[in-house]
Amino acid sequence: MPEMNKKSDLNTDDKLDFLFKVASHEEWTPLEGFEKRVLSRIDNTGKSYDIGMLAWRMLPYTVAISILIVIAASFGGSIESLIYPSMMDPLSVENIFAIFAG
Amino acid sequence: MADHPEIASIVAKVIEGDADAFGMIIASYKDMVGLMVGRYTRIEADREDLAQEVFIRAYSAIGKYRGSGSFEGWLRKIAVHTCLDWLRKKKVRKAIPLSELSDDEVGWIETNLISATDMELEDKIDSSKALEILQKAMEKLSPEDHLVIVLQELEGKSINEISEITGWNKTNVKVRAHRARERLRGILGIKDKGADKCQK
Repeated sequence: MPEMNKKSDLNTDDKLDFLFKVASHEEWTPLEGFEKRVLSRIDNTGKSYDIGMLAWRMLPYTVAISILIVIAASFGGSIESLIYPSMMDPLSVENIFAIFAG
Repeated sequence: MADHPEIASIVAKVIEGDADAFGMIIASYKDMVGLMVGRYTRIEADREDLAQEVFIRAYSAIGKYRGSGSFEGWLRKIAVHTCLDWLRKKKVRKAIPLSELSDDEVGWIETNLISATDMELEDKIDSSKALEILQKAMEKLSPEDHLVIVLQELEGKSINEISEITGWNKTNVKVRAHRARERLRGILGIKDKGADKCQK
């Protein structure tokens, strides 16, 4: 059933109101398989949500691992300089780290 | 339209993760949602997308449905806000160019609305053509004005109901509705009733 305009005091003397009244009679029949398409999108949205949630939960670990990698890389540079002293540049940041690291 | 008689138990099943139960909700309300969203777009693909989006949002938010009011009312509210968001995005993207009314459409208005006082004509006029012309004109309005015209004029909602659905205060709704009507009248080239009478 088309939805009817509920305005009881509709003033059909006005052309604009008449246009509204006629337009409000329109009907719509969804295409075949509408439910399946919606449920499929919900399923896909759910999967994206799960992946998003997993990434969010892993974020602290990712940050922690990144910090560890940066620290390790700094020390790695210093160790290399200690192994090859001839390549040492006394003013480089790596060597300053190496001096403090002992 | 009344709620599905077993809506409370169906909603409970959906919350527990039963997707088939949500399929029952879609089947019961798809016509209503499709009709509502069809008042905001004249492109069939957009209409289907919008209708799907309403149900997806309803599914995500179903845990918030308290069961105190009608489910249909709750779903309608989601549909209205989905349509408003869509209109705002469309306005920003300007993906669809605002089209002018063609000579044929202006002629249609002149021919079909010339005897607007004749109630017998109402059933003879092509309602989809009327809605198409109206939507074309409404595209020129702001998303908020478009929304208020649909709610008030096509869905017959009162100022109070529109205020409740949109969250805007009643004065704001009244002023917006009046201005939107006047703008639409200008776009369609329909003079107000007073002017029509003066011409006669």
